[in-house]
This record gives sequence, C-alpha cells and structure tokens, in this order.
Amino acid sequence: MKFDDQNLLDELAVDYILGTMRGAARRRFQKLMMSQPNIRQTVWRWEQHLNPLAESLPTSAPNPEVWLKIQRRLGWLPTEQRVETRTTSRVSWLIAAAASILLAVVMLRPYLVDPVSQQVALIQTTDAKVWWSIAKTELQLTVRATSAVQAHTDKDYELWMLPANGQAPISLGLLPQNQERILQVPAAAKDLMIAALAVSIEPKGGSPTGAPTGDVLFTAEIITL
Amino acid sequence: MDQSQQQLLQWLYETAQGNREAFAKLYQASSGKLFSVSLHLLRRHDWAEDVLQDAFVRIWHNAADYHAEKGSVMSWMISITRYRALDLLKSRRVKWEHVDISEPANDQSTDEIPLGEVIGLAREKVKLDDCMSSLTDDHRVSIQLAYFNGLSHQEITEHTGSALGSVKSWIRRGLTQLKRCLEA
Repeated sequence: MKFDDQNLLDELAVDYILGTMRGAARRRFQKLMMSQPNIRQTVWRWEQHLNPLAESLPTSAPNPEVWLKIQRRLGWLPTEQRVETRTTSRVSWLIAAAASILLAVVMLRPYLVDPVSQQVALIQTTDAKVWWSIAKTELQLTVRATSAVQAHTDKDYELWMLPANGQAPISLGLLPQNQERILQVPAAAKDLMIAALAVSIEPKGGSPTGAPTGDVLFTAEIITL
Repeated sequence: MDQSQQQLLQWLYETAQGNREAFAKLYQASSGKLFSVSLHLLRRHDWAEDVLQDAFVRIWHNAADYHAEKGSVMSWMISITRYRALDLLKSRRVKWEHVDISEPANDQSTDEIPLGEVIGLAREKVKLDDCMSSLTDDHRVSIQLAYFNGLSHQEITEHTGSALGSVKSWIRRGLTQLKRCLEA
C-alpha cells in the first residue's frame, strides 16, 4: 500500500471511521494506524470532521444504572455480592431485609434546560426498584416513597449527606415510609459540597446522637452539577 | 478554544489525575449525547448502555492519552463510543430493516437549545452543516446512514435502492467534496 497517497488514506480513514471497513481489512488498518503516524493523523483529522455530525442527534438520558455500573466496574462502589454477605452484626436482620437496597444517587437534571437546576436523586435497589425519589431545590428536599419501601413500625430510615470536605455526616431527616415528605436542608449543610448521600436504619424518631447509629445501609457518590 | 471545550478539557485533565468528581461531571455533561450516538448505531437500549459503560471505563483509564491532535474532548469521546459500538455491531450483526433515514440530522427545530454550547462542538458543527448542505442528497444521505446507523455499503443500497457502485462512489465523492470544504 502506498502510504503517501493522501487521497487513498483519506478514503481508508473515512471507511474506518464510518465502520464500512470491516473484518480483516479493519484489523489490518488498525495495525497500520499503530505503526504509521500519518495514517493515525489522517484518522484523527477525519474524526474531527465527522464527529460534529453527532451534534444533530438529540441527547437521550441513559438509565441511571449505567453510572452505577461504571462506578462498580472501577471499584468505587461495593459489588452487590459483597453487600449481601454482610450478615454478622447485631442488626443483621435489618441488613438482610434491606440488603438489596442500593443508594443510587443520580442527578436527573432536565437535560440542558434549566440553569437553576433542580436535582433529583433516586434511591433504588439493585434490581432497579426505586424506594424513594428525592427532588432537591435550593433549601428543600421533597422526598416521595414508593410502594417498594419495606416499612418498619419500630424503625425509621434516616437520610444523611456526607460533606465533600470530610466533615461528619449531617442528618437531612427521616425518610417517609409511604407518601411524601418535605425535608428542609439544615443551615449547616447549605453551602457544603455533597460527596454522597447515605441511608441508615435508626430507632423510631431517628438517631438519638445526631450521627448514624444503626448501620449505614449504603452510600454512593453523587454527581454535583 | 471555546468555553465548553475548555471546561471539558479541565475535567478530563482532572480525571487523568484520578479525580472522581471531575469524571462524574464529564459523565454528566456528555453521557446524554454519547448515549444517543450509541443508541443510533445499535438501536437497542441494553446494548447502547453496555457500550456507554465500556466507553466511560475507557475514558477513565485513557484520559491521560488524550491530546489536542485527536480533536476536541467531545470528538475524542464520541470516537471511543462509536468504535466500541461498531465492534458490538460487528459481533452481534444487527439487521437493519427499519432505519428511519429522516430522523438523524435533519430535524432541527428552530427553538432547539444549541447543544453544542454545552458539549463543545458548536463551531465545528456550523461549518460541517454548511459543507454538508453543499452535497447532493444522495451523497449526504449515504454519509449519514453510514455515520449514524453504521450501515455497510451493501446495507445502504438495500435501504436506498441504489446500486452498490453508486453508493460507494457517492460516499467517496461526497467526502472528497466535504474535505475540500472543511479544510478550505
């Protein structure tokens, strides 16, 4: 092949980018890109020409699970199995009951629409059953429980924010076991960056100490906009 | 360099340093577009999500390999996503019976938010649009079918009812013309 024939290189690069080059030809070309800088650069140039085509596509929000899976694959979140084998603590029955809860905090910003964004968090199980949805405006959280929530008459689920600066968790209040509840963001939490949200199971009425006393069921990093 | 490209570059730079929060922001800013790219090629949500997942794992690991010669950050991420999707297409051989060719590219309503402002392709897009509009319909549609939907030459002929030789030469001639226009 003549690697100095730029027209030919252009043609091959475009075939490669479009995907019309397939099979053995594609593999050969990939190998050539590794050894021939001018081929590589031709491909890069055409990528820059063609990729703005994607600009015409409407954005579509992927399932919030995707972000969790990425974090699991990168080892940032516990895998589901590890969670399910923790059964030794005093409140193991509670953990077992809630073993499948996964805190999925996903900011479902109405895409690109509103610069004063409302943030929405979903707390859901590993099989994607949402237990709570949380809509956050500046100082207020509107929490709605779904019918999936495993209700306890003698316990409460408490929501915590973990500040990004490493400070102790700050209680955001008790999560409703059904219907909807509005929680005020405490003044202490107002200006802090949130690293994660967490849910713990607490005695009725919430933690007596101001810090999580029951097991923190799960935490997850959240996306700050 | 426009502002959005600078922002993405900053996040990518921090990602390369291992900053998870910056990576999360990068995901937040680009996943909607990248998912759309993947979905158009694969036409299945589950596959498109697998591709998006793979793409971001790669972006995390390869952030430090990015450099300006590879294009804008967004263009670089689109390429990673597209190649992964093309791999999957190849291995799962999707049959294209219902590709709606009117859907991509042409339906920009006037009140649409200029997405490029956010993802850093706006300027290139204006130029590309200009150049694409100078192509004949046959040339343009063939390029779009291949780019957006990953159709082979043969599949494009089935779709447009044109001869294989014509499709090949449309793409070739269309791209030669496009290149002249873009690099002018």
